[in-house]
Amino acid sequence: MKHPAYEKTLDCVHCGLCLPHCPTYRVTGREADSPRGRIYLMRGWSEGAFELTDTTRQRLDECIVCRACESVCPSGIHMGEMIETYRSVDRRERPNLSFAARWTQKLMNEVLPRRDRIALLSDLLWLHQRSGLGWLTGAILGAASPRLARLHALQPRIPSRSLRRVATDRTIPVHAAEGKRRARVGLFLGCIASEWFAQVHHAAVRVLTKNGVEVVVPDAQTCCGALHRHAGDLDEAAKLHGANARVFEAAGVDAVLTTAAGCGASLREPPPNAPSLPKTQDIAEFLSALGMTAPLRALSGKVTIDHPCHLIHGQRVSGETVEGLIARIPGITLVPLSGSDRCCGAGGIYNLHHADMADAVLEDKAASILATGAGTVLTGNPGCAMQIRQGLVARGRASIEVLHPVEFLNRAIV
Amino acid sequence: MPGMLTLAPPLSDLAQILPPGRLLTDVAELRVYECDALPVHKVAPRAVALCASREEVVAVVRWCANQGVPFVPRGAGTGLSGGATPSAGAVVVDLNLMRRIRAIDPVNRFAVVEPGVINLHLTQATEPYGYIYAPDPSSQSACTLGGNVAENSGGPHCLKYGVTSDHILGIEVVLPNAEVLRLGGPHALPGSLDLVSFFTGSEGTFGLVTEITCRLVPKPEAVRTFLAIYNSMSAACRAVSEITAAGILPVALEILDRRTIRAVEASVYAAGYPEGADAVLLVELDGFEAGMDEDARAIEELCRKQSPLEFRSARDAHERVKLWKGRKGAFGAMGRVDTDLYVLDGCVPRTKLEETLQRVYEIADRHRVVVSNVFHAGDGNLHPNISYDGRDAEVTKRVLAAGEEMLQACVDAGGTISGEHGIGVEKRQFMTMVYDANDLGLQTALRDAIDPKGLANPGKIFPAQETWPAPKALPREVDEIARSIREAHAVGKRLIPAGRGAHAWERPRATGEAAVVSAASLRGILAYDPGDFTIAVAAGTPWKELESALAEHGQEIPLDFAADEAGTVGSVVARAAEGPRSGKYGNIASFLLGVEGLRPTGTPFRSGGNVVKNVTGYQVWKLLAGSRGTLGLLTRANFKVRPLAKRRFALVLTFARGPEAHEAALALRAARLDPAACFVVESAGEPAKLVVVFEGNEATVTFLSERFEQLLEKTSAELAGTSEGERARGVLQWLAGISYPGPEPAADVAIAKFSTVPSRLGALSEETRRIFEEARLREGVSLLRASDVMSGVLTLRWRTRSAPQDQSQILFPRFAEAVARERLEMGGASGTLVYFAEDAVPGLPSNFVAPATQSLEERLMAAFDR
Repeated sequence: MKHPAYEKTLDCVHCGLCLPHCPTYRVTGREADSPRGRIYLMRGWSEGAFELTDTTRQRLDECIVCRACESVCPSGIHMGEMIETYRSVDRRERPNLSFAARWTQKLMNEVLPRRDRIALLSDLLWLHQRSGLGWLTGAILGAASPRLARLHALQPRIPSRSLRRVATDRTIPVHAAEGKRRARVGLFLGCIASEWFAQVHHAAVRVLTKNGVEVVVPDAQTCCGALHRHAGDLDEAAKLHGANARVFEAAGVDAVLTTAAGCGASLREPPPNAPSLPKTQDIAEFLSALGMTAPLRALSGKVTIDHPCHLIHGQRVSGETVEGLIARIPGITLVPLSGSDRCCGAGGIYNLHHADMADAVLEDKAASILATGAGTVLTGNPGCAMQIRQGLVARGRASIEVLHPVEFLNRAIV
Repeated sequence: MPGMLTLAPPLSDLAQILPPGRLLTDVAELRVYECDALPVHKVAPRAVALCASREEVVAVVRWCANQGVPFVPRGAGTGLSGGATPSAGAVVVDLNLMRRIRAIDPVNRFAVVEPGVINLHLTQATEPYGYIYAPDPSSQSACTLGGNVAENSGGPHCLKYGVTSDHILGIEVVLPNAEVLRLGGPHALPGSLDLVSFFTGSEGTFGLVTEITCRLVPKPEAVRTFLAIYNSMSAACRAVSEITAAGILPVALEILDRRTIRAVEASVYAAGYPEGADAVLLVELDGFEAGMDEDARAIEELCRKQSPLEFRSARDAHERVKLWKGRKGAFGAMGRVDTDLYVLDGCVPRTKLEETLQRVYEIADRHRVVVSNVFHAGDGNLHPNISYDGRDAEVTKRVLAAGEEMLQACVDAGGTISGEHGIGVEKRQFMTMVYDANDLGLQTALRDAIDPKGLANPGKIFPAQETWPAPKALPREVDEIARSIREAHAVGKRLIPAGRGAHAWERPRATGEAAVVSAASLRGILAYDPGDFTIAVAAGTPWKELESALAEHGQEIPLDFAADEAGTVGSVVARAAEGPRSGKYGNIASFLLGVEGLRPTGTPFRSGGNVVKNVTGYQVWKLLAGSRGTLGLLTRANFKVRPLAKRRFALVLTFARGPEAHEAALALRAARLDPAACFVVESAGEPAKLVVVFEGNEATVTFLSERFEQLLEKTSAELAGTSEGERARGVLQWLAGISYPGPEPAADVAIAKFSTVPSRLGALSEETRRIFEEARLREGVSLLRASDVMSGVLTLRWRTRSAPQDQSQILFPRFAEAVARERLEMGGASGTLVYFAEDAVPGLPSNFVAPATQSLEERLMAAFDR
């Protein structure tokens, strides 16, 4: 048995109900690009029925781990776990020594867990963006490597240094609740998102405190390890997860809140050999259950909502939860997004490694967003926000703003 | 290209036919195609061709035909009988990339789709217009419509709506020799042999489907769901019997047995069924909100009469999901009992359900396998599910042995071995339980007529010839007829089948080359239990006898004939009779479940059976419906029946102008009030009549007629009369009589029927009036035009006061020409001349069948002649 999750592959009864829900299968129509096909490959390989080939390894690598299949599977398969554990074996058996792979590995192990290094990287990027030389960099990178060019195209506008700093417990012990304290939560920042999407955290703190929630932001928290898991690096993921568990346990909170669906899904399900965090919830789920008390002012315009896979499939938070919160804002027109529950192709850093597939998956998402005529798209995951924004820019629609739902809520809070 | 060198030489040609990346040849990747949703049989294909257009399919099939390589069609691979399991060396032609919905026509209620469109996606696309695609196999969120056509799929809601075959109007097929045929279309009536139905359920052995025209039905305005939990299976079965006996036709009647309930309750799908629950009965009603309470009360009362542990009902979608929770989760729950799940599919007469179930348990226990049953109680369609560990060869052997015995138990109970999953590779050796050497000989001869090289999905459906059972003995009367046919055949005489000879216009004349053989000696009801909702009749029985036998038990086959109709059951089938209500309920072919007959050689054949869902082999019986005696003599026919509506209400309205009547009729259609019949009858010098018949329970009919009156408020309509019950039946008979020449018609009666899409009926009717007036016939010649707005059929009836050689003969070709023009305007898909009184207008082409289709029909007829 080569596959650590071999027993899980036996849950699949081969019914095929997952097929139309798989983003890669929808693009290629190849059985091996579907959950059922991938499980069949993993099971056959584990049982020694056949050896994997370069082609079939690629099919397994091309799983975005969106977990849409888990939501529709009558037998309740655990695709995320199966793929991640498969990759953990695969990366040991076939170390990938390409320049890009080593570069990604370095980034994941030496930058993501270190907030000081992320800060330095962000400073450099911010400076570069302010220099106005972005087009030149784009051209040079484009000539050098399509992957780097894509990375360049994906980067969001980095906030200035002062805006990038979310006050942590090193400077402010707690962000006090306004009015009667209704709950005490810990806010999870994430790695890259802690700097590049700092405005989301600022918004989260304000929305929470305005609704009577006390917020602690532990400074010692670290990366959630989701990217390491997707890549099959389970040891590193367990290390990071353990660190976060200790930090938030010590913070004595009612709940740990995440604003990134990918981090949330990872934190809620510990990797093998890692302790659990205190109750972890997405901020939308938390606010929805708590009930918002802060008054909302009217906003205008057409708004549509995309549901990140790791929110609805990974965390099983229904799309209606987010819609319910946003729908309370007076004055806006909430337009349904067809295929809002479908993957956008971001997949953490999947879009860097599998650019063509990610682009193909994004195609439908971009088209349906444009079809809504909305000026604002809300999505609760930074990776999805970057991917969608890049798709809209590439289609000449940079004017459509892509926000986190909590940012939009914050605008409406008086 | 270095990559190409790894391909075997012939495959490299195939790779060039398709765009890069769409011919899969990687040895490990091919393994995922070695089975569909029945992972019991596994054979990896030689290659997989992902086709995205008809042109690509044709090119791949042509390559296969030229190279002598077998091919296997595949959609989503959700089939449960191994229909998409490759044969050795085969190329899989995967159609899931052909997933465009090409057209939706809500006015005429059809959609045109590519074969890879997912069943549920079609309904999702048509719902905004107020229509759905009714057949809903449990895999509907994933299975493709192409696969549904190949398998003639069923589903939980078939009880009311019928199976896939009842909802396919037309197909474009790529035959095994790469020839492309377009069969049927959005118009209502087949032009000649019903090849669309014959191809439906042929499991890919006749080629591939590249385009499908699907029927759409109005989305029900209201749905009610009920759940009753019993402490005994008998109580649940009795409740089902009482509901059906009360003349209520639910849209679904599902039962979960004790073992399923336990599996569900032990899983994450736990639905909260109480301790001691032995059977869970789900009943679903759909239709109009008005009248729903009446049926709901009746269902509650009947369910409570059997002392349930619990009774629940749901009024909204949210509550409904809760009631269906256990049923929907059953499959997954059983999937987790063990590593593998074998889903069986047998069908028995409804009244035999309980005893068959007992045998299934007994067989499972004897073979020490874990079986649980979830079944469509309304259809008699059983699904014993066996959970097992397929890695254990000994266990697998026991599972397969138990499965075989369970299917035999279904056959012993008068049923069949597949209700909706197909035969595939799974059950081909069991075909001998149902069919003998003559029956299998005919089916394989028909297959060979279409696929002489045996390249289309070989190895499916049919068992090895040496296992075919010897022909069964015939009943004495049938045997006598068979002997006389054989004798005539021996001296080279052509067979002309006949009924009782009551219709002068159908009475054939024996000549030196032909022998008339009558089925008159075959008379009587052969099997009828009202609880089964089926009836079996000898073909020589007058239709009226069948009608009154059913009426005694409050049932009917909703065909209406003129009061003086004298035809036999055989003749009704042979001319694929339809009536004024066929637009809503379907013609005789929709009710035909099976036939027995004698081929022109005297060899007997049987096809189909006496159960309401049957995908055991080809639908040969559908070919017989409308074959007009060209395929042989019918000796027996089995039908499904319906409960008679509680109330029938007919309205006749007059309009100053014909077009206005047509507009009102179309408005009625668009409002989805769905009358049982809706006709515009026009005749020179008289005001146009709109005849509408509503059926349903008391409250529904009242609601429908009130809504209809509201629709008419702004028109010049005047109510000429209304009628109920028996008198309303008289209205239907009068409508039926328009296209019936009578037992002894006058020599100068001419009747023609054309079909088009309903929205074009008004224009076509007007065009025929113009042609008629231009012909300037003598005084006393009149033309009656009857437009069936529910089906799109225009009936023309005219009479002259002279001999048949009258100039009025020329009218017929002119009408035909008008229809042909109409056909062109509609993109070659609509308008078929279906009937004319031959004696009145001799020697004219009887339909618009394309030469390629005609040649196929001739090959099929020749297969019967052998």
